[in-house]
Amino acid sequence: MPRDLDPIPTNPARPNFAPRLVPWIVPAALLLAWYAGAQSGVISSDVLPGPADVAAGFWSVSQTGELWNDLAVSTGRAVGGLLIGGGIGFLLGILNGMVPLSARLLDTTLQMVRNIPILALIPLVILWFGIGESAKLFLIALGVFFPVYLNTYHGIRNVDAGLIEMARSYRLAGWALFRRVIFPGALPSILVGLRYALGIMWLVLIVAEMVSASSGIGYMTMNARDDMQTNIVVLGILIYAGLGKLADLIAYAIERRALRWHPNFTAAR
Amino acid sequence: MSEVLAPGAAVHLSRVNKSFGANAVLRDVSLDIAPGRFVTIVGQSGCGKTTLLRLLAGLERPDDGNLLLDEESLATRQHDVRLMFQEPRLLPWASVENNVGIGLTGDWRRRARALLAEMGLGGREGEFPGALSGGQKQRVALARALISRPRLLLMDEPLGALDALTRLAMHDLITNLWTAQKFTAVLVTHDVAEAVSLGDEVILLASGRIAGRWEIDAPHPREPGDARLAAMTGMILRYLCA
Repeated sequence: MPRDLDPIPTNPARPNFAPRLVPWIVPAALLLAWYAGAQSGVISSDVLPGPADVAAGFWSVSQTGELWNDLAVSTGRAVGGLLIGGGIGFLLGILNGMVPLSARLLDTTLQMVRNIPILALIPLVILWFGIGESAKLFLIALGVFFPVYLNTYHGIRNVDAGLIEMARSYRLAGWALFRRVIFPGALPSILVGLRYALGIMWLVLIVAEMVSASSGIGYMTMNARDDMQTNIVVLGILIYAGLGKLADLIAYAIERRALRWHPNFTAAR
Repeated sequence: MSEVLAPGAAVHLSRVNKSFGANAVLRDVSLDIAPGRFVTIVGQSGCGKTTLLRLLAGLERPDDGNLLLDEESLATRQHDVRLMFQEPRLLPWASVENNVGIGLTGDWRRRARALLAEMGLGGREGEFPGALSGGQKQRVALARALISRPRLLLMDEPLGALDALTRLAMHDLITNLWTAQKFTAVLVTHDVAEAVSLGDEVILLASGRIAGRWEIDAPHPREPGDARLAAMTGMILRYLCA
């Protein structure tokens, strides 16, 4: 691995943590303000319970095991929907990118379906699938399908034609041409699609779980609202934020690994 | 590697025509290039010189006429032909070494490293092309073209984007490799001085026809400031601008 291409500036002599801390100043200040507001009674605990209340709520639901169960269920739904919808979107994107006839046949239809707001389908999906797992998987899969499909398709279509011509003149064809030239050329775009898909994945999951579910973080949150446990509601929101951030970090790590050759990636984000 | 054949291929074109739509790009071009010769083709933009090269590389098909390599149809001998493009066209996601070995199988890595070292790129085989300068990229492209020991090397203004000093260094490199490997070389350029300094023969292409041929019988490698070559350059330039 060429060390000098590492996108992260390394400073072996004396690690300097100050620049890494800067992004956390504002969140820490907000947390402090929240804590101070709740302790002094400026913010009513019915409106927004303080961090201590939320921590206590976290402790109680994690003790009963309810939290971990709901977390596992939600993550399973998210990953399952992503694999199904993202997988189909990826394969269709490649098919349409490589086969013009297929693109002509399917792309217009897919572009039309894309314009339907996914959340507007919830009532219909409940009618079709009830409130079982398949309804939520279907919604997430449909939601992540489009960003993955569109970006895969455009990524493949926009691979530098000069590189393909060069590769052909060097006797690359078929699978080798795809693996060595077309797929890596489309990868930056495909990964952009993946990051979009992750955002949509959480959004759809949250709404679907809040509308109809008997388990999951969204269900936990709605249940707590019915019992006026505002601290659990806030906890649910924070967990969603954490999961979203985690997914984004994973996607970013994948990008940095897969696109380490890319000029945009040698400069830190 | 078959050593029966001469290192350089003989090229034969007879009455080759090529049009794009209503636009006749090459008209009745006939040309013979002896094995191991270095031929340079000059002409104004749009005179058909790049198309001629792309026909030889098998990237375009002629409308009619014959293209032969060692008296065989060029289409069946494409593995003997390599083309250097105007741009390096390196795969940005592949290491320098993997770029050189594109399309190869078997034990090519040692040869790739030796070739890169010969081009002054020793020790850089693991880097990505993005870390190289323009001249270094074209040297990688040259190594990629030469690793399979082509018998005909085609170059489509590969030095056009380089600065003057880098160009001179590339001239020396190309001349040395050509002298050592004795392949047949065809270089297209808009730079008449470059054509005269590299070629055994300079061909002027105008409106898709061969409008002039000049022998340059000076030994290689040639001095950049040679007065006789400069006079030759001036004369060809007058034809080119006529």
